[in-house]
Amino acid sequence: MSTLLSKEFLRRLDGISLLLRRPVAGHLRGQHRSRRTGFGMIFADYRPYSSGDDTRNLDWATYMRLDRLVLRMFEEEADTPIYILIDNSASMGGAESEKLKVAKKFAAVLAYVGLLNHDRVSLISFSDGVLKEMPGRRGKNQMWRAIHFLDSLKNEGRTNLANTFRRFFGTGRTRGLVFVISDFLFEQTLEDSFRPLTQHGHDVFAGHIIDPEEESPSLNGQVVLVDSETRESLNAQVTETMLANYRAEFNKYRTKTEQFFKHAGWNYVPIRTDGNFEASVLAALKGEGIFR
Amino acid sequence: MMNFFTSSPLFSLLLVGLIGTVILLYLLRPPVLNRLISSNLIWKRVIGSSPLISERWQWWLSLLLALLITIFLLSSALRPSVDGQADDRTLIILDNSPSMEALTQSGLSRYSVAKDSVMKLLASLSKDVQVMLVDTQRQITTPSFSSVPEAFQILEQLKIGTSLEALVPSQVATVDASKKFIFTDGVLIGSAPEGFTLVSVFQLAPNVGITRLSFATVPGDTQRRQAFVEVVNAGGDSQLVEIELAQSQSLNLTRRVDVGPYEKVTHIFDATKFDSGPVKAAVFSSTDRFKADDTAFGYITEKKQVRVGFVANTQESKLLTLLSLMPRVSVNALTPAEYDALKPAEMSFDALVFDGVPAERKPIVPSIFFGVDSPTWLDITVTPIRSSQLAVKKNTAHPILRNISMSDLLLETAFVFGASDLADTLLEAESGEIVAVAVPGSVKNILLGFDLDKSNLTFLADFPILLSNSIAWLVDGAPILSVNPGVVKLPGDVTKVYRIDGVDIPLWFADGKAYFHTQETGLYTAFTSNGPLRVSVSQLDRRFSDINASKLPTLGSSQDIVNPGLRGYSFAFLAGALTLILLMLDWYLYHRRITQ
Repeated sequence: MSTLLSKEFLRRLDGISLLLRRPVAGHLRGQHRSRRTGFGMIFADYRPYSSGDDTRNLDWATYMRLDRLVLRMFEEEADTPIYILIDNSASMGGAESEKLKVAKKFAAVLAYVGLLNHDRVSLISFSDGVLKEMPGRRGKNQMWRAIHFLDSLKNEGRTNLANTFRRFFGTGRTRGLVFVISDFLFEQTLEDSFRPLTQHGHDVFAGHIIDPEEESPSLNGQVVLVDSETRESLNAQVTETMLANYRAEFNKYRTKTEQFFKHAGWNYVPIRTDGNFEASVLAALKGEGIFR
Repeated sequence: MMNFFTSSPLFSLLLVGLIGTVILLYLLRPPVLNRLISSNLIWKRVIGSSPLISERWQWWLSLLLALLITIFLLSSALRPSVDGQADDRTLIILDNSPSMEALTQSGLSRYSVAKDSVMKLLASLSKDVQVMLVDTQRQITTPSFSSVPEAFQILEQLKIGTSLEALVPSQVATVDASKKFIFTDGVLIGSAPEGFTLVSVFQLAPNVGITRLSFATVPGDTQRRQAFVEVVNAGGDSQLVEIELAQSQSLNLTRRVDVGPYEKVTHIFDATKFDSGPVKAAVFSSTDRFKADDTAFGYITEKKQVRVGFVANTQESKLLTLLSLMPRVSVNALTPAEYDALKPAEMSFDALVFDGVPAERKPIVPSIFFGVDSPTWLDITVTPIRSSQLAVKKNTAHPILRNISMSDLLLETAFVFGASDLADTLLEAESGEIVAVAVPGSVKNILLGFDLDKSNLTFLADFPILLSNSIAWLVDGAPILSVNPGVVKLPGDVTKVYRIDGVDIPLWFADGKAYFHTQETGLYTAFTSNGPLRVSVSQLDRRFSDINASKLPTLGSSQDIVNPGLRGYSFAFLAGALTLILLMLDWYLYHRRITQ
């Protein structure tokens, strides 16, 4: 665990809980509001008592006043399925790449907070499909599994989000909170890629890993650019003008990505690999209202 | 291939340099950075505005470049001929005939303009081109192909010639050359030979020149002399011309005359006041653009009293009367016996006249024989003919018959002379028999094959002139030898030739004759065993003055021809240069990954 997150940072995460925008659809008890009524702290409604109901929820004051048995109902607090999808494609770099490291750290933060909040946390690595999955786990004591899972990730393949989502969420997964950690550098459009999640009603949180070398490449002169995923070569005579055009194009691409998620009502957090990860992640997540 | 390397060291050096450069560039090529990046997605969009050619076209482009390089390299090395002609050979004919000395409107002579054009042409040729330079005056005796610098040297040595027989050597028609140029005014050589690029330097030039200058005594008054000056206007406009005859600054004659377009006029000057000696004739015109024919030189011979011995059987002769009436003649009559009794030492006559008397021995002084009867000392056969009313025709070129008419001469009977190189024919019958000859030599003789009483000669009006001319030819010394500039042929006994300013002119001898060469008009004196011989060198020829007799386009309309195609570079040179460029392009494209 210590390889990804420091103890001090974990200690700071101990007091943080997840905030969900909508009621969750978990089946187990948890700390989040659910659409179901049952045992809980927050009053929801009354209904006539029927045989077999828990008599502890009878409203005796109403019985005294109306002489009728009325049952008090409460919102049931349920757990939240949290799906943390980590882009494990070649574009995220090798095992030593900062992008993949940062992605793993970010996934570890999310998993830790989720497990701390008794949510079912699933870790999924993907490229052109699901590569590896850690099924849903609950409880803080499952954090070691998550760390072990993250440590074992090695990037491979080409990114295909649509295929990944179709295959993973097409098997009747419970609606939950989907974290997608990726550099979002792929040919497919975001609309097509995220359509399966939209259809299943998941709440999406995008973690956009940004490498400063991608944002402002340190290239000059004649180079052959080799795509890490497709191995496609691109001859380029890199000039200052071309670099300026590249930076403008990258910013445009990043802005377009952010706008996509915002317009969909989802959360988007850019995570740079060159900054203070811990501070920036906490600030970003709190800023987006995910962490409390 | 060997020919290429041996004939063009410059180009072979270029090729070696090219190969070395390519190898060096190959060795020095910067390493291409292969950069593994996460994704080309953004880069594709950036570079998308200037897409590189597809791989298929890369292959074709690479192939095309390789083919072009191969073709141009082979073309450069093997130098394929065009239409069977060598690509790297240029033939240039430069007309340096006398008419090229005429000035153009720019003030330069036609020859200077032509020479400048040739120099420009030579300068525009690549150094590996072989050039044959040919002139029309045969100053280049054996034209051959040489390098451009050598052609420059040959060109510098060429001068305007004096020969009116301008000639393009016939062998140039068979010369194997890809480019053939002729620079001319077309006056003396006519049109350009077939297959030649004509560069005309012809321009109309006003010109008035002297075409004839001669001196003669006045018939009937041998103490008076006349000068005959023929002036021609070779231009299309009338010219006011001043004609001057001068022996010295103070002794001269001038006359202003109008000469119409293309008109020839003859003016007679009374030159009695001139002493014997050289005379210079000149014409002056304000617009004249050809000076070479503006001056001519002549020589007036010495006149002296002539002592004539008249040998005849009778003293009652019309001929004797006529001789005694001639102003410069003092005549003594002799009988044949008195003549035979004279010893050579006692001979005090300058000339003898035999009237119907056969001379048994060869006279030791110049003589005239009327009614020759087979003299044994004469190396010419003489045969009698019987005829009646022989009409004769004269040799108009001979000075004895100058300015007289013999059209009414009739002979009853005569002796005829056989043809001989020793004698000049004076009169011949219409049927071809020679009836009068003049024998030149140290002792001259005039022989007439008829008696005066057997012809009507004495009744002709021109008989006194004939007699005067005959005596003048016999005793007035050698006539002036009038020649054109160039090679002058003299008698074989000439030992020295001096210019009028005393400069010794070199001589050479061939075939029993003496020769000297002069480009300049003027007077020369040749010394022979018989005394001095005056040589007048003048350009007295109508063809010399006709500098506008050309049908070529005028100067200016053909100036652009001077710069030939390909900017003067040979195809081989250009092919080599293209090969170099293509190799560099190929190298660049390959290392830019534009080609494969």
